[in-house]
Amino acid sequence: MRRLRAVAGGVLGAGLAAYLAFAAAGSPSAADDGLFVPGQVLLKFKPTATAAMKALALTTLRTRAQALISPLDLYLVRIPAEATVEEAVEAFGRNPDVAYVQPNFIYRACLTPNDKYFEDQYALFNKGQQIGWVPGSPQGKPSADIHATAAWEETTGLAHTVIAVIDTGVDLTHPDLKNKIKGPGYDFVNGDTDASDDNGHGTMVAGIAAAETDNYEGIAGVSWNSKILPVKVLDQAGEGNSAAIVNGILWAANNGAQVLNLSFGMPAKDNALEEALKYAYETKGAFIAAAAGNDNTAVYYPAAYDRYVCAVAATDYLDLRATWSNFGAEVDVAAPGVNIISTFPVALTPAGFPSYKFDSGTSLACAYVAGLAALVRGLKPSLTPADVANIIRYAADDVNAAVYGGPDMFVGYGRINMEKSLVPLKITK
Amino acid sequence: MKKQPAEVKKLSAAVALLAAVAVLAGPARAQDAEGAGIRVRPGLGIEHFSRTVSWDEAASTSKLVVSLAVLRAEVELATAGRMALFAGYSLSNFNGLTFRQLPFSLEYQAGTIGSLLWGADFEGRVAGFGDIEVGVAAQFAMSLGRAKEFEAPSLNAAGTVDGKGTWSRILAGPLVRYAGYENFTPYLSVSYNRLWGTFTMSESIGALSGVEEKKITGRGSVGFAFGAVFEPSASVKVQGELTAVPYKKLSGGLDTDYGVAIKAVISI
Repeated sequence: MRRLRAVAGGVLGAGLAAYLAFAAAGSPSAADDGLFVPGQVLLKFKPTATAAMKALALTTLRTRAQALISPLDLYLVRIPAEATVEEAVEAFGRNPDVAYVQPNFIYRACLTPNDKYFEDQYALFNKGQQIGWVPGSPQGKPSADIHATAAWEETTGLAHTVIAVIDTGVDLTHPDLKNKIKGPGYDFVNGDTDASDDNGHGTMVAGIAAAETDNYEGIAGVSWNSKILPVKVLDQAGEGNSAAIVNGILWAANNGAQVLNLSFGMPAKDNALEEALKYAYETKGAFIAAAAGNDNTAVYYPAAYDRYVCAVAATDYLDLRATWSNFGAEVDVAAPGVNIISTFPVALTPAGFPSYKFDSGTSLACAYVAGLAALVRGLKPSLTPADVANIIRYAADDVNAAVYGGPDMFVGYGRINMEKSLVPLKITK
Repeated sequence: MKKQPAEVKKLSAAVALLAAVAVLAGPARAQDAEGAGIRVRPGLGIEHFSRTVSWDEAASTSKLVVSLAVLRAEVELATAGRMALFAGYSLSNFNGLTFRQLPFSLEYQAGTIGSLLWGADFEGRVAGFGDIEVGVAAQFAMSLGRAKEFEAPSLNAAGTVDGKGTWSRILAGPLVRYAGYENFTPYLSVSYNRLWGTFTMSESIGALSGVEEKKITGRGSVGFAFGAVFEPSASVKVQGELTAVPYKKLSGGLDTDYGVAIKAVISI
């Protein structure tokens, strides 16, 4: 008797174990993955099927027609709760009166913007396209980009995140920027409140970071919804002095800028500049991105103020470091900076030409980082500027790992990756 | 052949062990105190259910899928009903929970987490109308959760990711059973069915760290059950039950979560 009980218990236990193993190990269906609508299929009968045949097919499988897409004579069919879409497709597929049956697939917007020149923005989405409008321009390399389109599915930024473009000013009337400007800004070169751009450099930087996007016009900005605060500290020749720059940084920090873009530099230390950076970073909590410089030499200041600034080097359309990009231990990350198209002041554009321009430089690479920082800040407003910098660093793709594994003086942690910075990372084991 | 996850192997081993303990302990523990109208009987229970849970103030949903196996100690209260305490092991799958307040947002897709589980249930008879009996049933179950370390995402800094999920469930409501068959008693019940819990995810990657607790709540609060008790002999009682919990989808419309439970009580 005891043996009989033991055997029965063993059988019961094994059965339960098998059941639980089945229940727990069962892989989720495609419906669980969100590939199609659970509980529905799309069904089309052959033209020869009569109404009675159709009704019989539906009732036999205990389904019901939920809707008819009449131009195609296509039925949206509700299937019983206990059946899966896969089972329903298989069952209907065996019916000789059925022309075809399929899941009601779910399509998702990939958030590829409709901007006219988006195809030319390899930095955002590189599919191996030609880089530039001149015949014979080089080809890009697929995925040698900052993975913007995937990241935009997570966020396109918030309007209350402000990027200060501390530069030559910004074209306040540019069709791709005019709706993105937060006030007229300030001009520390001429001492007035009109921070219009008489050079073009600042307008290019602003467009990369936050041009109006998905507006059938021009280019896409990294942060679609962020606002641009124009601060003019460089003159028509693209030059500025410490006093103007310090004033510009302090003014931007005090006027709500959470991200400062500093696409300028010089090789010497500047105590006043450092103090202004410290104020913006520590007191006002601003994230500061600065261009490493374009002379294949040591990182320029302010980018070299490692404690407060995220120093940005440049890569190209093949994910290679730009040969002229400055280098040093201060380099945090790199971003595309070769043959970059961006907005250009309308007033400086020859008549008959679009107010967009291709150019190269760490200045432009820096603007991608500023745009990404604005997206991170919009998504996670409680993070400190150091946290934002670390997210951007840790998520970067180490594009020169084959030669310099880990952080190095040429591209820092690597070329920035918006997707890894913003989209939830899957924990799978 | 597909390799079974370690958690499933653990649960399978636990089930086999519980079965063996139940059978071997049966004669020793079963106290047939018919004079007092009370019988204590050991048993086993298994259940598998899926429940849509909402989080982030009901802005998002995912599925909590649970398989559990428990050892039961049932007390038959003569004609008044029965109550049981149970304890065992659960495998809870929280896939889909997304943590966006951490420095690096994380989406949990690591499958089941094993955990101890305990609870109690009660079934009482209220009235009888011929072969129709009306009663009440209630259950409380709590999965205690277990902290588990997961593989950190591939980034430029080393890190650790830890998570712990717990859940509790309470069921209570009337049931109607048909007692007209000799060894087979089908029943229907409607119950208040509430499930709630938390999943705490912590992340430490390089200089970044954060902790986010996600409160989860089962969608829908009324469940329907159809089941039957089969007693092939005086010493064996097997109960099977299918449950359905309708709920309103965030996108509109209704959907239903399902579950299945089997309980076996053995006494000799």
